[in-house]
Amino acid sequence: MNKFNFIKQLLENEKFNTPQKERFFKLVSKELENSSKLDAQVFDEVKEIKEKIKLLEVSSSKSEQKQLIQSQLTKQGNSINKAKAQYPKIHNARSLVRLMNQFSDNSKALKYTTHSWEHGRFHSYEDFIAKVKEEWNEINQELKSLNPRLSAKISNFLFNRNLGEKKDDKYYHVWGEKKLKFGWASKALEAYLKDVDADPFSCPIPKEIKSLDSKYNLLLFDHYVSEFKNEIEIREDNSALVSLINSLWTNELTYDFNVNQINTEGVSFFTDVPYLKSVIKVIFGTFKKRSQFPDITCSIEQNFEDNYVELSISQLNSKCNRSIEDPKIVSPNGGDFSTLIKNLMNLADFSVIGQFRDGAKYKVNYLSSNLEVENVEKLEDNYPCNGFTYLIKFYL
Amino acid sequence: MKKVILIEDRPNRQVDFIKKINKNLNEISILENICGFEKFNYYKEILSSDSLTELEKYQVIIVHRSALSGSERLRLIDFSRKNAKTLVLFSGGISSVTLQKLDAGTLLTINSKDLYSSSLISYLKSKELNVLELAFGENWKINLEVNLLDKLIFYMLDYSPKPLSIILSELKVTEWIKENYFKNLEGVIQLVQLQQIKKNLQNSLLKSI
Repeated sequence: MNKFNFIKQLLENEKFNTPQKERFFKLVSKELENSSKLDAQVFDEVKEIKEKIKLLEVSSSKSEQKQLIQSQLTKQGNSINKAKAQYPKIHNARSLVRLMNQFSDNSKALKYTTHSWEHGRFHSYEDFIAKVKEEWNEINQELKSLNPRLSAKISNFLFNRNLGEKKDDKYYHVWGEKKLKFGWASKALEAYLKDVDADPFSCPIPKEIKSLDSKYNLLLFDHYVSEFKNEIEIREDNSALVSLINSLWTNELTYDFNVNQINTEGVSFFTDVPYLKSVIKVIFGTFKKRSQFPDITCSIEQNFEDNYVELSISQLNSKCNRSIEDPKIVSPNGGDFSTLIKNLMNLADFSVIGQFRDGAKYKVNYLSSNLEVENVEKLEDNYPCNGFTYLIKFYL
Repeated sequence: MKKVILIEDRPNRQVDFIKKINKNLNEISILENICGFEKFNYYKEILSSDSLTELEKYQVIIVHRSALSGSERLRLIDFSRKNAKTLVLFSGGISSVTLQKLDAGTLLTINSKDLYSSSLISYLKSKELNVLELAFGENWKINLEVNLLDKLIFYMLDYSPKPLSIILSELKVTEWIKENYFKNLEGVIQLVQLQQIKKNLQNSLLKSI
């Protein structure tokens, strides 16, 4: 359902009280404003494309402007411009978060796959699973197209009836990073919930599954749910971001480096946590290659107007020895940057900031949710940049 | 004067839990108990808005974690961080008690069952509103020490020297423990230093008995 159909349905079917009405109209007007901006942007771009493929005559003033711009392009400008065609990649990190937010929406059955519910909300296990399935089917196609890994993980946890059974000689049906073998569709849970008053989260894990997952000592279904929650969300209740950074400091960087964390406590956002871990691991790997700069800072900045949390990871005092024109910087095709771009696609915007060979500071954008963003932005000389910095922006 | 606000979106849950401890939260003078219905909707509007100034008058804000969206929660945490508030987020899905220092503020995350207990009543009746009492009960000091001693014994079994910040995070050390047992330590910590902390803990516990 698109957003306009959704608004129409709300207006037709929902009975709002006065404050709810006011809030609803405020949100609708904001949405319409955004849509009109987007429309204008799309029309401009279509016009530009038509001009390029000669479907539309370029107005003389615009043509002159273009010639002027062309003549002003230096060799450096040209190469950066070529990269612009490829980067930043415009992706859909906001859409993915919008879908994931259903796991915390009180009106959705999906929320109750990770939260206890009040007596009477669902009539039976079958009723609950049917509602979850219905909601999942509504979002899964989109989620799958944005991030097939995340979709597969959630789908297996919710609906795979064969978890813990052998797929072939070598592999089991599993979900998630730890390859766990119990979920909402496991037969033992279904049997346990024949008693409609039973609490699903207290369901004991069958012996055979406990022995398969023995490394993790998971005794109740609640423990599996907890593992699931921590794979799809960085949560503030267990200082997940702090622990994740610390564990990579210990295992990847080692204590020859100092890692200082700023404002990383009290942070939560939806993402594919194992992929975030793999991303920080790659970043720490790049730092490790330059051990002459042992001071690392990881800090969080929050923006509630644009609804995002930005993680900056800096190697203090380090500079990039390459030229800003180097294709490995502006349009990477392989190597660490490509791995980071691949792993963050549709999860988080990704940029780097640093001082390059010419002594100037630049921001290079690789993944963006904003069509306006340029591939390379030259920064002011006094821009606060204490070392080569990776910026990862998660939407809320 | 109301110093504490409790915002709960599931009135039945509060009723069930409170029945067990046989206390009426609405009779506690310092507590503004917002439990479902219109009053909850009013505060939910505030929590969803750009301005949380309405909450400035409270020293402690207790909210059901799941009643908030991700951005509402982060905004509230940020508000507590900047305005030196104690923020308590409770939920049935929180498995352990965690106390975090956020600049000027404090964040406690706690399971609903642990929140709605006699500790909440003692906490609300105490003058100083010590969040450690809410988190770890009336005997919070002994609880914290026993808990750390227990963890340390296993932690030291295959210990290799680590920076202090890693140890504090892995052992989930509270500010009070840090102040009392890790105060003069810095840099990479050796096993012998942890052994000394263990000894200090044992001595303190012996004195408390």
